[in-house]
Amino acid sequence: MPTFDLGLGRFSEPALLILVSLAGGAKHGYSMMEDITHISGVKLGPGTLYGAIARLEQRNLIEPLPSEDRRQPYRLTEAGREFLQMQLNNLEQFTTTGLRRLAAS
Amino acid sequence: MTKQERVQWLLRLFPSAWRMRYEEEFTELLLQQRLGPFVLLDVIMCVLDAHLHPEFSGPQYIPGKNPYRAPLLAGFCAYIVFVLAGMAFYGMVDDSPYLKVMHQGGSLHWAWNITADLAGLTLLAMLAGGVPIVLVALRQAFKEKRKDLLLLLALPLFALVSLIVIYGGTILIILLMGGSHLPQSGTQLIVSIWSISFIIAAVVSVAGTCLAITRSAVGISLFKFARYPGIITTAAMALVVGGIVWWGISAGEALPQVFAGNLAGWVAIVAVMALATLVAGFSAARSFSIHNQTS
Repeated sequence: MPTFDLGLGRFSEPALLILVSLAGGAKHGYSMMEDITHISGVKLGPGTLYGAIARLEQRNLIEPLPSEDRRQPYRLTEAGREFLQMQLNNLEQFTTTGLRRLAAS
Repeated sequence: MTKQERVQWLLRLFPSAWRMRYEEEFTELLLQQRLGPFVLLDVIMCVLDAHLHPEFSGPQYIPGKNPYRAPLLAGFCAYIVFVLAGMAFYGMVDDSPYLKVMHQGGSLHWAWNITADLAGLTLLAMLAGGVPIVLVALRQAFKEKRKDLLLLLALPLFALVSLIVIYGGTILIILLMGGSHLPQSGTQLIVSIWSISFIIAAVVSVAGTCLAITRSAVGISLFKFARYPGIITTAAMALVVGGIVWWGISAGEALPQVFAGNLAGWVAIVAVMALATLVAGFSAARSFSIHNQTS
């Protein structure tokens, strides 16, 4: 069964939200928080955000971009893009199955 | 305190490697937030996470750089638990009817003496492996003017001074209250305060030392060497447990009524020491298995 567990413990769900946010373009921390609240209704705390960012960066799924100010923008790496695609495909299959079963019951 | 100062104070709680990588951008993010209780709690959780998982502290940390460190520190912690249980055993025997029987020779005498000698061997082996690592960490801390390391390495000293103050203060209060004849409840209270203080001091000292060694860049060769004293310590710990079991059986035969009163304490001590020995054994085995995998 597909789950939000990316092998990142309690940071799995925030990490997926970050990846989806960055799929819309490079963003710095505050923009990510705003965007995530907008697309999912989830309000990530700054500590949770950076716990997940550190893990995603360490796994080479996101990377920092050169910055002109103290804010640090991040973007998806190619590996991050493929990883997100795979996760979303799994979730899509899961959602389709769930909806089909609901319709049949 | 201004918001900037509060944010700077929060950032100081993070490990230095994490700060080197994320401090600037995280400060900027926090300055854009209202620092309410939920945000503060979230940041504190992030601080704990950063300390518990230094591998996610950015490129300054190279994962797997020193694979020997974690098992050897786990072995050290297990040894300290073992020592604390051993001190509880000493407390059980000290100033008790067992002493008279032990002075007369026999199995109880030999069990005690051999166990004490083996306990000394565990200490020597632990010092042989651990002291060089602590000294190198201390030298680095002075050389690089690392206040965080110096503070952590000074924690055992602070703990010792605190214990002296607590013990000395208690004795002074008793003397000022006019005598040595305390009621039973008073004596129990003092013993409880002393014991709890001692355990807290031990935990603080061990945590400080372990954190300092984790944060310092002590060379891998010292950790590799420490595997050998580590295995000697573990073997001696196992023999000490055997010696205490032997002592218990002998005590049960020599003074059955007295030992019946101490049975629960003795069983608890043996269980804790055996568990600590198992952890130390796994840690020692792990350090050798890492060596086999990497060489």
